[in-house]
Amino acid sequence: MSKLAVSEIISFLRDFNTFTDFEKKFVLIGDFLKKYEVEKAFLINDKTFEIKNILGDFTPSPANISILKRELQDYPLNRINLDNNDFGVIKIDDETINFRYFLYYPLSLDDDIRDFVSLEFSCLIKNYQNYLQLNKRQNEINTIKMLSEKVSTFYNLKTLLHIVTEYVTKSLFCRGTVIRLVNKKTGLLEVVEEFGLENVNIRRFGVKKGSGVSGQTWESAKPRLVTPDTEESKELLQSTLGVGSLICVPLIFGNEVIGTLSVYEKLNNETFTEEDKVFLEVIGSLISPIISYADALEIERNLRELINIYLKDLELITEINKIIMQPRRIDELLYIILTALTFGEDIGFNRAAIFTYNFNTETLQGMLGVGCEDIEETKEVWEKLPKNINSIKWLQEFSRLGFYDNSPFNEKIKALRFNINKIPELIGSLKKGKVYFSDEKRKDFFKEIFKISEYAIVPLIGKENLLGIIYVDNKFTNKKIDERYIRLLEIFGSQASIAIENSNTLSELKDANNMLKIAQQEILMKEKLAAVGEMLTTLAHEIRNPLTTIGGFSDILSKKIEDKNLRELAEKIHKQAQRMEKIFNSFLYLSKNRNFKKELINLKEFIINCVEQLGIPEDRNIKINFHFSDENITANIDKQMFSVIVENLIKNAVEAMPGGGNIDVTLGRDENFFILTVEDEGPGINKDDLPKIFDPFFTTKFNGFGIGLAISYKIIKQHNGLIYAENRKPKGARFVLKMPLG
Amino acid sequence: MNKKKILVVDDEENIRILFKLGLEEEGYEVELAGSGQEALEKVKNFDFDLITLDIKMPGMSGLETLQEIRNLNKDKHIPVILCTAFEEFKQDFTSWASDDYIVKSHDLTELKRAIERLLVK
Repeated sequence: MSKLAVSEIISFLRDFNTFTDFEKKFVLIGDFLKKYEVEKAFLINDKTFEIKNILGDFTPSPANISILKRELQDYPLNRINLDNNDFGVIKIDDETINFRYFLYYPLSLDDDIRDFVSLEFSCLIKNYQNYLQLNKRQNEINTIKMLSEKVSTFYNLKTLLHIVTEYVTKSLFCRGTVIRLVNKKTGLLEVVEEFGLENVNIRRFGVKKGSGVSGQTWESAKPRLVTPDTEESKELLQSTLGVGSLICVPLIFGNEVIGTLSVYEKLNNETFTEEDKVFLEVIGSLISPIISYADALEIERNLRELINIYLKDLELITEINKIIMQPRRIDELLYIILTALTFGEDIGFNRAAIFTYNFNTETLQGMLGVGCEDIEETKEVWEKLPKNINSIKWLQEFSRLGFYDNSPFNEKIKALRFNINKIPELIGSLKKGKVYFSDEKRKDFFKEIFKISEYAIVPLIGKENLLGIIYVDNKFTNKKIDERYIRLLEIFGSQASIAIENSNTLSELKDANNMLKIAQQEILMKEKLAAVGEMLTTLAHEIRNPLTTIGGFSDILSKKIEDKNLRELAEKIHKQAQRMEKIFNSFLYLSKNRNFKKELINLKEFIINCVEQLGIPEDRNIKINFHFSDENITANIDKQMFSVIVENLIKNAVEAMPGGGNIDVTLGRDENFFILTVEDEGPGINKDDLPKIFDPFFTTKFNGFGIGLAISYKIIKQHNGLIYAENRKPKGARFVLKMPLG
Repeated sequence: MNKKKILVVDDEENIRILFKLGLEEEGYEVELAGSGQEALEKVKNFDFDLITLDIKMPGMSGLETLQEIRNLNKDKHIPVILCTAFEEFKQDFTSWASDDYIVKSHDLTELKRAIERLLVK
């Protein structure tokens, strides 16, 4: 059996307290017990053995009565066998009531419910008795009925207490009424509501337990009627309070005094009676549970309101979602996202902007801003807006209008680029994916840039990392960005992140064809290179030895032969062998994957040095012009590899211009790459040849082997760089090399 | 001063001749072997100051020959230079207990430098 949930008790008690009819209340408890598998339940008076059935029907036989008479004397007792069934027994521990035992069958109740039942019955029976006593007094009965109704439609505790004090005062024909409640924080009994006591000197400050009439009532938990029948009470009533008589009853819930209800001075020179006391007790018992559960009920009501707002927000976001989740271009999507944030009454921020995050450089770059820079502009824009903008569908239309394309705010946003460390207070939120809400007091980056006092930042988190942030503010309306907005922004942010990531994927997909083509080319190239490599490995030994011998012998011959003509021939053989060996080494170079030895080099020095090493003969009439955007560009690169590339590019340029000309070597950089451009004034590259120039063995040169650019290509790829060639206008070729700095 | 004695091991006769001519020019005494087996016999019977060893040979390869030479446990460590057609073994040559490694070339400068370095040591 499940434990009794507090919420179940609360909901039960709410129904329970709605009814003024005590018989109905017994039935309700019966229904409540049914839920806990109880089939039979009754109350028993241990003196008269009168039975009050709560659930099912139990009529005790004489034998049962004698068992009950005998067994109920033995305390504590928690079960009793009647008609071959074990009944559970709960003693209701209150001497002032007549039904003192509660019996039920089967024995299925757990301790929580037993306690609960015992408490409820004790209150109920007592009030029932009081109620029966009061039955003759119609006026009070009406008050009780009326108050019960008020209690059932209870909205606000303060209002209810006010009604209680007013009605009690009027129905008892007394001067006034006061309700005091125990403040758990201060531990004192404090006045929460009073009626008609403006001129009475009651204790309005917090009362300690045991101090004064109310403090004593709190301590004893017993109702108290004070009439001027003793000297002591006369003193208290007349000198201290200036009233004729008073009653103070405890407000009890469970077994705890939660406050007191007091009435002062019966009018028409009468004094309060015992019957008045009983009446007050009934009222007390009526309002005690409500006071106790007031907190819970208030919370529940607030929650319900919140849930309604949540639902409304959720609906809105779902609508927006439908729109932003459709596949579309990223710029259009950003526009829609920001428009949604600045749209209509529901979210309606004054301005919103989006920044994208560059993971490598840790910078945020403004992409788009929707909103205005000043109030005049705002008015202007709102005048231009279509009138029927309450439909969410309008969002899509709006984004196509390009309303803010040239707005000063958008321009300002797009010009913004800053390192994430500029906003240190945000980093924590960004990492956690939480919405950041600006600190009220502290100046910060955004406050200064946008001249605002309040803003919020929504992080956009992709599958793996931060995609960017959305900035929102209410510069013109100064509407507070409260918790609800923060919550909305959080949900919205996560949806927007997904949409943005999808959109990125989409544009990636759109580029897929191109990518695929490039990939295919690369595969082809790799295959070609691999084939070359394989062939070379097999041939290496076969070629190396004769080559070595030819070269070596011709060298020896050219030194030994005396005859000049013959010696020249030997020298020629040597030269050719030398050249062949060099080419052969290049082939081998191409055929394998080397391990790079990266080191930091100054590119300017290195490139100039490479060109010098080439030793281009003066008679070629080649002029090399260097252009360095920055003297000190350094890169982490394999020296040997890079020199091969530079030499190849320069050599090609030289060879493209047999009649001489200018070669422009330009070096620049961006964030992550350096860019080396080599331009010549030769005939350029034939359009058909352009895709093939990096293939091994492709050459247009009369005496080339077509290996230089292929080697360069391979090395560059291995360095995660790229190289491409294009033709210049009016003539000449341009090779552009882009390689990572790191 | 006695001439330093070098054993050139290569299955290709022309290479043997080229090395012999080149190294004698430098004042070394050069002995030749056309196979790993022949080289091993010579090393057992004579003392050499240095051996150049071709890696790719039919029968017993240069690396096997090197292993055998090392197993002979001669009193003196004989420096061995591995010679091959291309660079691919370069990174690992020391793990094969050779002392240096060269890529064969008509230009013997690199070989001569390596020999000089090892003999001075």
